[in-house]
Amino acid sequence: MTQIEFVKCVEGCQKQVRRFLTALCCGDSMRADDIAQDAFIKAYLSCDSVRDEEKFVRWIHRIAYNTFISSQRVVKTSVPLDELYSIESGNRSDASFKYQELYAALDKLSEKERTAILLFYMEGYDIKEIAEITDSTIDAVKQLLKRGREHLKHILR
Amino acid sequence: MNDDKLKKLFADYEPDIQSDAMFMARLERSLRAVEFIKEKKTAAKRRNRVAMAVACAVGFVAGGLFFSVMPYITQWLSSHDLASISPAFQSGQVAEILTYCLGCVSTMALTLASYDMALGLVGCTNVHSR
Repeated sequence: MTQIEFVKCVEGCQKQVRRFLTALCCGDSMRADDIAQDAFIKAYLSCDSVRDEEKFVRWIHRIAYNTFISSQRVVKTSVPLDELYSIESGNRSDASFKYQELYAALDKLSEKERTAILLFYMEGYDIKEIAEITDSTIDAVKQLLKRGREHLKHILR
Repeated sequence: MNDDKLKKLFADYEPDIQSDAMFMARLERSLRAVEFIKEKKTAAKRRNRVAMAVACAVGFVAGGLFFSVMPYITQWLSSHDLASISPAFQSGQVAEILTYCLGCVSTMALTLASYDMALGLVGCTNVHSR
């Protein structure tokens, strides 16, 4: 895959990947963009093996998830999201506070639960595909989805 | 909250993120940098391969030349009155051992000289390429 072909493929899916990563980073869009950049560079360095565009998006999601997990080991959020949640916004419709409740709820989930929930509900992947992306078994994904769903429903009541 | 509400919540999710154009511009800059580094690495690999081939050839030629000089060195050693250099050469067996040692030392010196020449060539190629 040439650089031009790769850029074309990325243009088609970058928004979707960044949206997924922003939710995965509980609203930290700057960090999500940094992870997305790293993930796309990693993908570019080994993109010769992927031809199919549909597989490309799933493959990018897998790389993005792995890059997120690697970055999690290094970066620790300096301010807990609970504290951020307590900050009052002057205007409740302010875009940055729009999903405050959702981010706080997502932050309560484990990384694996959060990933499974986002890939299932936001990206529309089926359980088998999620298992491939997260390198888990189908049963493990089912468990993660079940637990994540219960947690979310409980928090977002 | 039921399953449908969860689905709707994530379907409507549109976070406030940096513009696509800015993101793609940053990515394309990084990709160009990656390409630049890849090209540099490929060129360095190619240069090193050539340098190694040249050094190998030079080492082989120098080794061959020095090897052809060896009989002359042996001849020179036997033509000289070694006993006049050291009394140790007067004893037949000791003289043989010392002559053998001299031959070994000269071979080692010649091998080292050809190795140095080859190494020097590789070093010069790398310095010039920077």
